[in-house]
Amino acid sequence: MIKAVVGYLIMSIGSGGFTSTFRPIVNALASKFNITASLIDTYTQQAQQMNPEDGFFVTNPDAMMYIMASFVISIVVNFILVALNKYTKIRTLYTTGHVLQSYSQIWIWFIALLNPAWYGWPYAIAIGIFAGVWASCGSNFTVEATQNLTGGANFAVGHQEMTGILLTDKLAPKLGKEEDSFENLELPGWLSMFTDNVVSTSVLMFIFMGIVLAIIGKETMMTFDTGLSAATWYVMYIFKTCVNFAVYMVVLLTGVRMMVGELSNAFHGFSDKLLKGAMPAVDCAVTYSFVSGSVPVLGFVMGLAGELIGIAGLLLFKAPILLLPAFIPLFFDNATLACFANKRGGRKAAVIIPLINGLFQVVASELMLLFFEKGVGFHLNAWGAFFDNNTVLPALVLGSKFLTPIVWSLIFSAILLVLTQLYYKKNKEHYWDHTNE
Amino acid sequence: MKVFVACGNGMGTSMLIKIKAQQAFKKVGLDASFDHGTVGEATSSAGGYDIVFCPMNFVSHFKSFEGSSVKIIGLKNPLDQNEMIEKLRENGFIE
Repeated sequence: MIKAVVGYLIMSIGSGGFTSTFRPIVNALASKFNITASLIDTYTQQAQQMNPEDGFFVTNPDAMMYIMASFVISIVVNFILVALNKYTKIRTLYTTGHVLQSYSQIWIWFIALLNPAWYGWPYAIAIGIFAGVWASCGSNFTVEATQNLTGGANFAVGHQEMTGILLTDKLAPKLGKEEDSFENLELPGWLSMFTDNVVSTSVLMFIFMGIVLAIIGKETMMTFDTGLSAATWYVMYIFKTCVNFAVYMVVLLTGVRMMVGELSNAFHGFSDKLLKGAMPAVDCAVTYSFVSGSVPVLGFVMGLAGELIGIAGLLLFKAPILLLPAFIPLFFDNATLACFANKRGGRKAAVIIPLINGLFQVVASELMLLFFEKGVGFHLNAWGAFFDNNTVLPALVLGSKFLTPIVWSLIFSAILLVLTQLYYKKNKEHYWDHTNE
Repeated sequence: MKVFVACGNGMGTSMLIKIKAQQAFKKVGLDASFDHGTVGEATSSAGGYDIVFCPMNFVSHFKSFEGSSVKIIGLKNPLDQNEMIEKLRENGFIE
């Protein structure tokens, strides 16, 4: 428990850093070009929730309690659904604690942003239940595709692109042939540096945020960032500002790891023994080990191309919110989809699907950010553009707005459980194969 | 013995390998303390560890440790305890 609290407070330090780095840039853009900006990033989004000026949660100590309670409830719900798998047909134990934790954190915040009265125990519990049902059903939908990819390694994916995996598994065969997939794809060695999150974040930020800062110019930045004086060499200022994003990401990750670590450890300990017929749903990156060569990096490169096309479109159509690519959803979403696409639809699918998804990440982010900006009156610093966050999360947010969060999360949960039954009917034949060893 | 488990983001995969490795170590009677984090962290602090576990595709990041006292062990299937035990044996940590 102590570690969870310390972890949460470490996260809030990372959060402050993110915001104080990004805010002057947003303000400068707004004043000079009358445009706002956001990142396509999960951690920047998570960080904003904890910032007192934005999130109202850090000033309210209840927030941590609600987030932790919701997180624990989601784990318990998943556990119950697996334990009752004879009826629920849920086979997957969602082990990716940091993703579940972020679900609780982001969703409690979004619901409260829609209506400040939607905040408190009933909402934390409803969100915890829905997060648990979603995590269970979503990961269960990835079993067949993941087993096919790994040659029956008996795990599923429990991450934030589960609907993307399901869709890729269906679409990829229409785009190309399975026999035509990449074997030992070799991309230039320097590209592998992008698999390191610190290097990747720094480089991407330096390129894209660097361009933005250069366009804003030193004069304007000086009026918005008191840390920049006339004597400072502007290039060094740009470099330091951009690298700061990596710095605060590491701080935030350290906090999350500490907050989630103990609970995940304990959870693994007893769940392995207790649950029959279950398989773990794990982080998407585990699948990269089952793909030969640099297919994940190819996914990243194509996803980046897609995002850049999308951003060019935003500029062309003078969209009110400028988007900048950051590392996490760009890499992990597109790398994962590329792996599944390559397996089912070969080279063509592995190239096309991440490209389209990159474009979709931009479109979905822009739409959801606009919804919050115009419909809710709140500027989000980032959208965590994983595939599920671009599809399931908007459904949760929009449905909650019209049907109230508690009613909608219960209806939505029921829909997911029914879909799982239908999924079972379709895949009945080999559904329990993993238990036959 | 000190073991570091590394993956790209230092979160999900490394956490999972860590838990599986702890179970595997227990099975073969090895005593060790575990940390997990990113490959970036691992390449700067691996010198202080006896073993680094990581998914196979990250092994190339550790070229500078060839011939040093720390063993870099790449895993094909991060969930497979038998593979871990097999590789501990290959590297002489167990008989």
